[in-house]
Amino acid sequence: MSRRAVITGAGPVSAIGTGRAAFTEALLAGRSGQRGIGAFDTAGYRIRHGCEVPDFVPAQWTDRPGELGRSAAFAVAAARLALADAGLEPEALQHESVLIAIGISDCDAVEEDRLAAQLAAGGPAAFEPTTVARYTAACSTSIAAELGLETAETVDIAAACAAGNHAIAHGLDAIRLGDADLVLCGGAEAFGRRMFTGFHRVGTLASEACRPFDADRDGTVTGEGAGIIVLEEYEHATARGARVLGELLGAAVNCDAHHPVAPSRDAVAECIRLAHSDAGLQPSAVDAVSAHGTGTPANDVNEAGAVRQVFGDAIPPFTAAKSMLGHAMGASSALGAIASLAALDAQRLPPTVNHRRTDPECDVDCVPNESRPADLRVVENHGFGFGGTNAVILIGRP
Amino acid sequence: MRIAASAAWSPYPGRITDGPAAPVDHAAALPPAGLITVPGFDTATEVGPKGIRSMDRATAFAVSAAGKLLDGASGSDRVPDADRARTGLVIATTAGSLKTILRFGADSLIKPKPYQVDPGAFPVAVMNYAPGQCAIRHRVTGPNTAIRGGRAAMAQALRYSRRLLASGRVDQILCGATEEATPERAWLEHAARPAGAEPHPVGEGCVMLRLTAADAPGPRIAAVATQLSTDPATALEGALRRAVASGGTPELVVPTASADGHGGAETKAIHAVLGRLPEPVDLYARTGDTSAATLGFALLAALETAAPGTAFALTAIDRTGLACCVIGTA
Repeated sequence: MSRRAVITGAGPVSAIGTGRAAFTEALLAGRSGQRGIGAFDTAGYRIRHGCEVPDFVPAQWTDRPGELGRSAAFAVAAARLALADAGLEPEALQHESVLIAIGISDCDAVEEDRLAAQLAAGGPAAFEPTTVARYTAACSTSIAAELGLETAETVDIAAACAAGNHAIAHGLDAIRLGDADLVLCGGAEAFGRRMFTGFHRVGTLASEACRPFDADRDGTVTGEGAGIIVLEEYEHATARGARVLGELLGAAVNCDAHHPVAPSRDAVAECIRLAHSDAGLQPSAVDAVSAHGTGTPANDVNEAGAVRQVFGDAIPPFTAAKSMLGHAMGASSALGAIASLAALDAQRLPPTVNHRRTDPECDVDCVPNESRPADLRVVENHGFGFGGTNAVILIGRP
Repeated sequence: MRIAASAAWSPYPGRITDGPAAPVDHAAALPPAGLITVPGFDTATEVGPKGIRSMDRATAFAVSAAGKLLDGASGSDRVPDADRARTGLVIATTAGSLKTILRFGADSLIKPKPYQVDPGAFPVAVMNYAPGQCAIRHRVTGPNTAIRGGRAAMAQALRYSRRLLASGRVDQILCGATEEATPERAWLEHAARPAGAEPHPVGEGCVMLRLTAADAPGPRIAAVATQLSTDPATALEGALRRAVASGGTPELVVPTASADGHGGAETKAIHAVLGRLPEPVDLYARTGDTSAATLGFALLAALETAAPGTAFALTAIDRTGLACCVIGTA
């Protein structure tokens, strides 16, 4: 049997809470992170709400806040939180085989907005060097620099809204193959004007609230944050007496190869099947789905349909953390993975909030509005993105 | 990991290391070092006429190069359609299409209403547009992603690809790097260039490899290592030592660090580890600064200049301080 990968720490930075305890408490309480947008002036927009991380102070997490963009600062904070949660000091990892894999959708969104403003005001000759440096610096390399892990392997995986799961899947392969004993993996994204504007323009922003799987859902709410987990080789974790939060049982990634933005039901179903096969599990072993659940009409009906293709009528309950967190793009499925861990740890299904009536075309039990106890052994976490990129991971109770 | 085939778009119809240098565009609106473009590239001809209104050049280069590798392969190397579910697509970039991204953002600031932006440009502005388009246009349904990492991105993409192959998730990977020469990228690179570094024209192009795990003869990638340090020579020395330890000692080295003013540090590290000097290949004079594609063109240069079977190394130092070394055999 190949080497097993267990999760020994989690670091969420989100609109509803930072750190595993605060995040879990808010998640199970069904708290929404939606508020008025503060990242930029919303004058002229019809929609003016989002899910920003409130009161984030980069200097709490880094000695060089001026050098890091917001997404890299989120990533550094999430990495520090995850390591502390795992009972690890960064110094202790300097001679270990470490991979840092961070999923992102875009380069730093805040710095990008600055560059766009510089372009609009003075043409490209007006680009400022410090903005450019923060814009293009990789999140994974920023973490390695911050933690003093100079020999750690780093990679930023740009796979749109599925990127967090992509990074976690890559971490699983690195551990199984013996390339790494410890992986910091997940995703990070900052709230930016361009992504918000794009969604606004194509009509996929919710007028009031993110209501995944609801008959009256009319779009998503853009968000931000970071989610990083400590993935450790099983023997490595047990040798140091680590507390295990969950086991990463399997993962799969694939591509629709169909349309840049419209999802494909068959490809999502195939990705789920590939993940089950990778984990050696039958669909009946899955107790809950941590859904991609964006709240857009297209995604939710497609996702429910794809799950039905694989599970038949025995569909496990769905829980859509985006109803609380908003859509944190490259970080979203990594935060979904941490929500899955929270569910396994608490043996409770987190709710899908803002729910009024379930769309009969989706026809799923989305754990409406209130969390509830459940016997959870395996949770399936979904992430799908623009470009038709899909990634599914399976997390088991330790 | 075997390089079963390669395809490229560069300013040169043939080899990138020979012949007269490509002309440099010194238009007034560009930074002083100018641009080197791929001459005569027409997206409609190379990609097809449909769905290209908003497509950026970097994506068009990649779609075309991927097509050459998939459709052009013959005999035992031919890729049947059924295997495209077991084909991965991994494309290195600095920021995706900077021109599309920033013009979209600037439009939002300039137009009467902030949401009066071009909806067709929205999906193009996401960084994984290029691998997504390669997949759509060639029906490649395997793992699909962009890797962003500036000058280190191609090394990271190769390492990511090797792991996908080793995990058994794919039978082959199309792994490459692509960039477009636009005023936005030229000014971005101009702003980012460290003081004292020699300015180079900003270039463009794409290098795409078909990688397999198969143990057949031919060129291969033996090792990839990266290391971070605030001192560029220390970083590259570390990366070189670890790449050599797993990939063997190279007989020639293609350097790329001069564009950021790290040429001296690079030469020092190569000499310290290998007791030799890098090849006198000045990629930047040939292709211009191709950012994430620089290591891809360094690989092409190594394959062009080294005799079959010769071990080579490629070195790079990203502006973040991340140095990388790729060791392979021609």
